[in-house]
Formats: sequence, structure tokens, C-alpha cells
Amino acid sequence: MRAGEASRTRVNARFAILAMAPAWIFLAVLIGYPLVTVLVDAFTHSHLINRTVSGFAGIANFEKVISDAHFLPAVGNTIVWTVGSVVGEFVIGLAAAVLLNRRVRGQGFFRVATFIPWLVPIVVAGMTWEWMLNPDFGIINSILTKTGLVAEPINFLGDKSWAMATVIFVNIWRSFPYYTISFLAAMQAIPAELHEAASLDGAGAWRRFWSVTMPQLRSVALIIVFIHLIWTAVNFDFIWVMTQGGPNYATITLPILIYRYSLQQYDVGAASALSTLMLVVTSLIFVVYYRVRRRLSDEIVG
Amino acid sequence: MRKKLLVTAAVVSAGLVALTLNGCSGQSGDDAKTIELWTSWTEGEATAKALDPLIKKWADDNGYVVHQSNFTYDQIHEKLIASAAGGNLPDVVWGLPEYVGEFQKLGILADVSKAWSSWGDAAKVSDAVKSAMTVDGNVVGFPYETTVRAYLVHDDLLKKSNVAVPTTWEDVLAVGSAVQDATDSSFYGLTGSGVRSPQELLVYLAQEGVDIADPKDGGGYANTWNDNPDQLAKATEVFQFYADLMHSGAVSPNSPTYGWEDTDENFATGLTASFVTGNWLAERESSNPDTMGDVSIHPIPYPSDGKPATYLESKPVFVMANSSSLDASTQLAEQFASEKWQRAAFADRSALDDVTTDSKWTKDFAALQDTGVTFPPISLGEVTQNMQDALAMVLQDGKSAREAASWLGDAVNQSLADSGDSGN
Repeated sequence: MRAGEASRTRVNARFAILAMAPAWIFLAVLIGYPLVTVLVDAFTHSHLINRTVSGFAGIANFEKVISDAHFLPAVGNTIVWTVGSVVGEFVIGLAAAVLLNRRVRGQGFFRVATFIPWLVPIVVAGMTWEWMLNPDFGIINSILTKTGLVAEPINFLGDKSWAMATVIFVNIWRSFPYYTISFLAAMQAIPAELHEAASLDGAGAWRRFWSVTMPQLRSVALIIVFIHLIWTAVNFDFIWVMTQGGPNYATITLPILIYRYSLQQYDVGAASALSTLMLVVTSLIFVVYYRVRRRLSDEIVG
Repeated sequence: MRKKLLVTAAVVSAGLVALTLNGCSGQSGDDAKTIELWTSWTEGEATAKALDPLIKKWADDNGYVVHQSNFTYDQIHEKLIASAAGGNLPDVVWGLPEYVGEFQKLGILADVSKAWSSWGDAAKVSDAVKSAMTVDGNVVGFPYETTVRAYLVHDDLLKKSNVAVPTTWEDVLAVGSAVQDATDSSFYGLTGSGVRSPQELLVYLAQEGVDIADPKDGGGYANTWNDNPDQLAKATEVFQFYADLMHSGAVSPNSPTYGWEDTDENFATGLTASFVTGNWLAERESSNPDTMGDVSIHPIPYPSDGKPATYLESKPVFVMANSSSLDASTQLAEQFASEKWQRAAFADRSALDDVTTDSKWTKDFAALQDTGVTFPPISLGEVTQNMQDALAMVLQDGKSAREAASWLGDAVNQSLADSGDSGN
């Protein structure tokens, strides 16, 4: 009997290993190996073109990155880009969810229409907005000048004082539906009795929103805000498509700096060092998320 | 049942491993009768329609299978550099002249000098084009598409402004905002950012007689501006020309951030009255017939104490050195540059002097080929970024022309040192 149980346990274990093997292989080959390579390259002199560059670099790559004149501006831009995008997406996504949660005629149409920007591929969205915002033939400037709102066309993506705000705006436009769909799903799960009870206690719409709706959205808000903090901070394609980090580095962020190290300067060591720094920061964000999430779960469970 | 599951899981795992490993290798050239070809044409357009059957026929005649994949040039560039690091390359590749130096340093280009010597059409190619295919004394490609830049003018807009076609920088600056005032279109155009802005800057530097990097006696390249006051003065004049274009009102105030898409669109729609660009604008005659009917083609204005120059873009088709079908790959590459294939697919942009059309877009451009200049065969990724940054110093940050020229000289030398192009 014991021997039979042991044999069954061994077979179960073998089956579990075999069943998980595909996932392990993929994780090891597609995530583990590149990750380890990046960490190793960060401490190595590694250049794609210059074969004379090789050997252990110590912290030289990190020193090169941190002393780069574009590093601190890129850090600042990454923070502005990330926080600006996530705050804007949150506010507009929540407002849209509140509106779409009301019973109005054409509710279905408005819900579908709201999600359209999120369905547009990033490259298509970026290029379309780039043409719409063009100072010479873009429709936005045409409307602004014809209606007399501005005297001269605004070079939204070519003027340093406008460029970052513009790419954040376009990113918000494209990403807020993700927040809306998440908040809307959470709102529809809030029992109607809670709102009725609050109304009977004399709570107005504003008070009901803050005291009934918002606490019920905490969990979903936490997830999407932290996910988007990481997604936005490491996003490369949106800014690359619209400004390539310009004009004159006004919108350069850390992922674009990594691209420039690797595929313009071919300095894999520096690119890996900066990638490692970003990995550490995004991991810290995840740790913070995990702790906040656990505290919130404890509160909800009581 | 359990045994069945175990076997299924084992088979799936083995299959996934095989798929993964297969994805990591990918070199089809292991099969000596297969040639992996990377091109960059627009699917369904005339070039693709003309070349597709020719490639198939060549493959059938020679007993090869040609696996053709289509990418943008940027994709080809990045994929080749990544593939070179992994030792996993195709056989024949369409490239840009800017890639010659980098790919040669990577050691991935086959030396096709011998094939060039015995190539029947070699005598029909200009020295400038052959020079663009040559690095370290070796020919590394065949020219499949060749164009130069010219100065395009909307005659009606200049006539309306009572302005003659300028031939020198001084003429351009003297016009100032006269065309803008009379027609609401900018007079001249400049590209302040993106891939075309370093090409424009290279031409203006060549017109002043200075190079972005010169070969050194002991090997390698260097920018000599900061060691040579005369060179620095000439480079400064170029940046001053850019600054003066802005201050005189000859160009749009938005020019500092224009890329090639903006500048070509502005010229095609008549928002810019004159501009230095390529003969691909010919296709805009059909898309913008109202504004493109009055276009005339001229040499690019140059400084009165300088010389004419234009940007020669002769695109090489490369053969990869590690190709397992090296001879056949070289033959295929040669075919792209051959008279038959050039007439079929590149009649309006051929390096062969007897392949041409009657269109002004071919003849008037070809007439400028002798003054063509190209980038030196160095790694250009960071150097061209340096050139854009120097332009931004003058056009966006208000720095002086001398400051920008001096900064660029040092920045280029740093980039050459980083890429190993400085020699020692």
C-alpha cells in the first residue's frame, strides 16, 4: 500500500514537472536568458560594432549612463510622462465610467465609442495624431486658427514647451478607455442597496460617490494604477513614433535613451546598465504595489 | 490514461523545445540551394511587380529557391546588426549607403570585387557610385537604386513673387521673406531633424569644401575642424547659413523640427516654393496635380566661394560573407544591378548611364550625379545624431554657428572613438 502510494506520488510529481516544462522552457529561454544577459552585459564592456571593446567593466557602464548629459533630463521626463499620463488616464477614465454607468439613451453606443481609442494600434494612433497636430496642414491647427482661438498655428510636437504635454495628452486619449472599462465593471458590481441606504441617510450624489463608490473601486484602482505606472514608464513606441524623443531631447525618456545606446551608439554595456537601473526601479514599484495590495486585502477581509 | 497524459506532455514539451531552438537558428542558407533575400520594396507597387517574376525566373534557371522577405530599411538595419551578433544572417540584402561602414566593421559583408571586375555593366557606373560601394579597397555591393538630390522650384510661385531661381546661398538669403509675403508660401526649405537633415548638412559642408570625417594617414577617420582654423571657419559658415535662413525669413519658423515627411509634403502642396529633395517627388505629380505641374529642377544653391555638390544615394545590394551559397548569392546581387533588371524596375533611378527615361525627373537629376557626395564609410548612427544635435544648437537653442561647428567636431571624434572608427 505504502509502496503504491509512493509510486503514485512519484508519477504525479513527474506528470507535474512534464506539464510545467513548456512554461519553464519558455520562461527560461524568452525571459530568463535575456534578463541574465542584460545583467551580465551591464557589468561588461560590450559593443556591437567595435570589436576591440570587451572585458569586465565593473561599474563603468553605470558611471557612463549617470554622467550622460541626457540622463537626468530623461529621468525627469520619464517621471513627468508617467505621472502625467497615469493621473490623466485615471481622472478621465473614472469620469467616463461614471457617465457611462448612468442609464441614458444610446448607452450601448457611447460605451462602444469610448473604447475605440484603445482599439487603435499605438503606431497608427501616434502617426495619425502627428499629422493632425502638424502646424502647416494639420486639422487641429486649422480649426484653432479658423475659429480665432489662436492667431498663429501651434507647433505642438516641434515646440519644446508643448511637446511633452502633447504626447501625454495623446497617450491619455488612447489609454483612458482601459481605466473606463475596468471602473465600469467594478461599479456595476456595487450593490444598489448601498447607494439606496446612503440616500436614505441623506447623502447627496457627491457624498455617495466618495463614501460608497470610491471605496468599492479601491481594489481595481490599485491594480490598474500600478500596472500603468510600470507600462508607461517602460513605454517606448508611443513617444518614438510621435517625436523620437525630440524636439532636441525635450521628450526623451529612459526607454528611448536605452534604444539610443543600443542601436545608435551600439553600446550594449551602457544600454544594459540603464536597463538594469530601470529594472530595479520598476521592481521597487511592484514591491510597493504588493505591500499596498496585501494591506488592502487585509482591510477588506477584516 | 495517466500514461497517455505523460506521453502527451512529453511530446508537447519536446515539440516546444524544437520550435524554440528552430526559432533561435533560422539560417536557411544551410541548405546550399536556398537563398535568403531581404528587400525593402512596397508590396504591390511597380518595383515589386517588376522584380518578383525576374527573381522567380532567375531562381528556376539556376536551380535555387529564393526566400524573399520584405522589411523597411530601418528594420533591415536593426535586424542585421542583431543577427550579426547571433551569427544568423541572410544571404543577400538590400541596404542603404549609410550602412556600408558599419556592416564592414561587423565583418559580415562579402568582398565582391572580383565579381565587379567581370561584371559586364561595370563600365556604365560612375566612379562616385563605385566609390560608394567600396570600403577598405573592397567592393562590397552592387548599386540597385541610385538617385541624387536636386533643387526643385515651383516656377509659378517664384514668378508671382518676381524672384529668379537662386544659384548661390547669397541669392537665397537675398530673397528673404519676399516669396512668403507675395504668395504665403515659404521660399526655401530645410530639414531640421530626422534622417534627411544630416544628408542636407553633408551637402552644404561639401559645398564649402569640408568633410564630416577625413581618413587619417595611419588608418581610421577623424574630424579635423578644431585642429584646422580654415576648416572650422568653413564649417561655421555652413551653420551660419542655416541661422541666416531662419533670420531672413526664407524658411518657415517651424523648419527646425521638420522631418522629411513634412518637407516633402509642404513642397508637394505648394506650402514651400522651393526645396532640395529627390526624384521620388515625381509621383506627387499624380497625387497633387494642381500644385506639382510647375516644378522645375536645378542644381542645389552653393556658396559663391564654394562649389556645387549634391547628395548621392546609391543603394547597395549586399552579399553576406557567411552565405553558404556565396557564388549564387553574388550572381543574384549582380542581377539587381544588371541592365535588364534595372530597365524593368529602376529605369528612373539607375546607376547605369544608359538606363534612363525622357522624363525631367530622370534626366535633370542624372545631370547632377557627377557632383554627388556620400558619407565616409564609418559607423554613422551616432555621427548623424551629432549632426542633428549641432543643427538644433543653432536652429532651436540660439547657439552661435561657431559654437555648433566646434562642438560637432569634438562630438564626431568622440563618436568615432566609441565606434572604433578613429583607428588608434
